[in-house]
Amino acid sequence: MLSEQQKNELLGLIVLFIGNDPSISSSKPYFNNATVDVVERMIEANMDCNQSIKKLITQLVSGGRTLSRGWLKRVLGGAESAIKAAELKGYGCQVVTKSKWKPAIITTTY
Amino acid sequence: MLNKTAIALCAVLTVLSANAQLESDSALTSIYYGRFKLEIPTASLANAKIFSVDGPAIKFSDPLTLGGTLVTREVLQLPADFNLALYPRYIFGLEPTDRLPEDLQKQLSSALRSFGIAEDAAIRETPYEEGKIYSACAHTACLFFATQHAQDDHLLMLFPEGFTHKEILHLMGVANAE
Repeated sequence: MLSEQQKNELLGLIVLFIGNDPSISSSKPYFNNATVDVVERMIEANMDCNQSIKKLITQLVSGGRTLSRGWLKRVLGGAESAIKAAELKGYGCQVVTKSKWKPAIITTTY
Repeated sequence: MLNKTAIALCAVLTVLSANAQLESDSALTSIYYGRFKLEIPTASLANAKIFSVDGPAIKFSDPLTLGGTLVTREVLQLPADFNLALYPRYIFGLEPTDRLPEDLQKQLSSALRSFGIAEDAAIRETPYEEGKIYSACAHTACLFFATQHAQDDHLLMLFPEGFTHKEILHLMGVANAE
């Protein structure tokens, strides 16, 4: 069970990687732990996609946290300012990122 | 006499029912991504969830999902003269990219990772009736591409989770898949 804050931050992260998409934003109420797992895999696969993403991940996992399985669930709820800072620097990874991860994210919400 | 007739009738009904069951077990449902066809055992779609993302996506059960989409040069942000049939070969390392412009080399070299496929994935190339199927599988996740000899305008990309390589080839109509 995710809090509203966690769902908002999760959507913010997804948008950073694959852009705004109505089919994802409309799925936000149904985000769950499986969604977090998929988004965690997406982030790990696309950590190097641009400088602002690299910086964001560094900020999220600072303080001794490492990218061990489940790291994203642990940072959600306190990541809003880092996500907002990254939003100002632009969106988007490779177009294939969206092709692959969009259906994977949406599938978890059904 | 009546008993014998009843027994014979029961036997016929049993055989018919068994045949109907066999037919329903072997029935296939065709799913199209453009002109690429997958044939899914109809029985496996009972209780499945099917939804439209950029193409049909099916959640058979929690560990078994299949998503896919058609992609073009435009979608992949590739140059107009790019040979799309070579795209899977480049990103799976089956074809050298050193003759391509540097920015394109960079884009292609990082694509596999963006798909979430580990670098030690098993890469396979399988000819089929219409073209070639390329796959990279690691753990329970695979990335499939299908090309068609008849056209070079689009590719099929599939993202199965929880399926074996052989199972996906079967869905794509490859008999005797290994």
